[in-house]
Amino acid sequence: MTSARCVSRLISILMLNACHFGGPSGDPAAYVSSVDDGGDTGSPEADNAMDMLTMDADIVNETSVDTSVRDSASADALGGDSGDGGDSATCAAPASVPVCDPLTNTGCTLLQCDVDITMSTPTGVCVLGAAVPAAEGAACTQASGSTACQAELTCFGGSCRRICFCDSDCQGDGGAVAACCSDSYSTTGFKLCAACP
Amino acid sequence: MTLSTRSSRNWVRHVGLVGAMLLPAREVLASPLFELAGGVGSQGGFNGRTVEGGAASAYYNPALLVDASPEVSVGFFVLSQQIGITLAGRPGTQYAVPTGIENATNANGSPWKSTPIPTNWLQNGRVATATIPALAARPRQGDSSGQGLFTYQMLGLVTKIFRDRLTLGAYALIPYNEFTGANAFYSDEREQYFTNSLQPELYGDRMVATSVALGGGVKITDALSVGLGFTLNLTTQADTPTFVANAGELQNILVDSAVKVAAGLAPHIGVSYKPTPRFRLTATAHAPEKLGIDTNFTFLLANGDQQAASADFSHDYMPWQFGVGASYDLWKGANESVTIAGSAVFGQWSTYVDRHSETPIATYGWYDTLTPVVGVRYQNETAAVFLDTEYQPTPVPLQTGQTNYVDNDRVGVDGGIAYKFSLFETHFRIGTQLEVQRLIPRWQSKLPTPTFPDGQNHTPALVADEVPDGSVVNGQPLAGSVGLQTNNPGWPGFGSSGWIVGGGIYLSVVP
Repeated sequence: MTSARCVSRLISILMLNACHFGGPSGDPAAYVSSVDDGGDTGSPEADNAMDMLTMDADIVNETSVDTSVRDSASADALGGDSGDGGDSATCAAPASVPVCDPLTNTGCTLLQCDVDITMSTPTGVCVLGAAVPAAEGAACTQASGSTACQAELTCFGGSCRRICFCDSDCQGDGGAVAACCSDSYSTTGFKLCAACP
Repeated sequence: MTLSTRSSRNWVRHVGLVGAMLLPAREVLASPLFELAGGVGSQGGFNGRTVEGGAASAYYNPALLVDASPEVSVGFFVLSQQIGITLAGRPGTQYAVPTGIENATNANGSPWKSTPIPTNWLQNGRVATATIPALAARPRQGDSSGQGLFTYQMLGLVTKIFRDRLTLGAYALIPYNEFTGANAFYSDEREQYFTNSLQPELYGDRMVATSVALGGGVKITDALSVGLGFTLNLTTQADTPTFVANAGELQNILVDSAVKVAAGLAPHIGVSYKPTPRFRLTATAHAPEKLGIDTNFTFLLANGDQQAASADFSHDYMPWQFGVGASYDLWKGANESVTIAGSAVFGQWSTYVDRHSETPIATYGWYDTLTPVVGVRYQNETAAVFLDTEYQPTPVPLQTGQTNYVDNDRVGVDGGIAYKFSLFETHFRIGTQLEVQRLIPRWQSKLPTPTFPDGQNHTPALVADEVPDGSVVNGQPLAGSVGLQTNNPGWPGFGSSGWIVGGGIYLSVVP
């Protein structure tokens, strides 16, 4: 009985190997560095994927231990640097925004201009406005094809935020600087107004 | 060489007959059905590339048409597909995509690369709210296409011209159930938006593709013949310009359509050589074929903003196939013969294109395969029987990563019997055949996916973490984002097995 199983298994192996050519290339668990990894995350050309995963575990640990540093960096990236374009001297707003301008809500007929989050350069998109739009700072839900926020605002992170390129875009009615154009809006090229540091 | 008036009339009639079959063929296409079912209505069986198979030789090896007798055949064929797909249970709720992710982003505020649906909604549905209608549940594997019964009309024609030097053949399997079918599905986590199920990759809708082949064989010498045939490649382009008056009321959109169908030929060639009266060698090559559907969408908004999108589909894809074979008459009398036959078909499945026109990633690249077939035949003046067996290795590697292409090794047996008789001074041949194919059970477990605090996917070949670690919502850490969360219906593993059973009867008018 055991011999029969062995013969059967041998035939299976022979059939499998004899009838297959080519096939998968590479290790599915191989580590692939992303553009955000920087240059010190290891090489994807490494021969042994498990070595790479081990190597990467160091990165994981390092990142875990260094959470405060990462948070600090994130804070900087998200708004800690008010001088990054917010200052009128260095602010460089684009001459025009394709499709429509969400800062001024111009370019759409019947619809409302919002930020096109699928683009990596500042681009607007015409969407359906809400019957009762939410004011700045009010809670909202991000949706495709519609917006819950008032014009010149966009829904980001669960609240309606004012869109800007420069600090002047965040000025209140009285002329005083109410906020700074300091928060990045992901990779859209737009910024968002936030409290000045 | 000159043709007599009678020969000319015959030639016109023969071309007309073939043309009559060609005309409707412009609206249909060849399919993998021929490869799965083997020759129907003849003694070709699974060895159609090596043994003369009547009209079916128009597809398998048109050079063998030279040895076929003129005939008109009609038949009925049925195939039952019973493929079971079993999913491993999800081990815990910590792997579920949580609710409340509508505003979630990566830690740096960038949007997620994909937008999963909360796992609970998929499994149980979601009740209606004041503003959003209810969402029906679509549980895992609740909508698979593994079972089905398919019936076909077989049509065959063989005719000879130029003093039997040239033989023309036409062969078709036309589904009764639906003229042709094409259902696209994703083979990874993207299928959560649709059936949330796994589907057999090389069966299902591939069994309801209408199949038509035309071919001709030329007798070069008494020992050597060559053949050329073709099946049809169709490409359908559908443009659907859409006007959206109100993005919040998509049920009121206005849509036009413009559909174009372009036909191309997928050729195949064959050679037959008989070094001795009892020994035959054959070789064949079949070009790739598919049904292409290119869909273009344009959306025009009321403000004049126009956006476009497109999606390409490839159905019923068959790769390059090269076959060699040999047959030998173990015993040959005046009116009887016993023949053994064997063939091997190389399929270049490494070039496979799936229904969404995507090629499997290199890490899980498909194999090229070699399919062996062996069989035996007995034939006398009035009766003929055959029995073939084949082993079709799956080209699909074990799906331990992101993709869920479902396929199995297959072992099949095909047998048939035919009887010749006369009625009202007309000769007929009636036959029947039966085939049983076993999809050998296969199981695969997904490799574990390492996740990273940066939220990036560093192992794209493995099951994707659809809720990146470190995600935030409304400025707060998203609960339940640490580790792997996925709606990939094939995670954490799946298995498949099954049977394909077919049979049919046919009647031929022969000289």
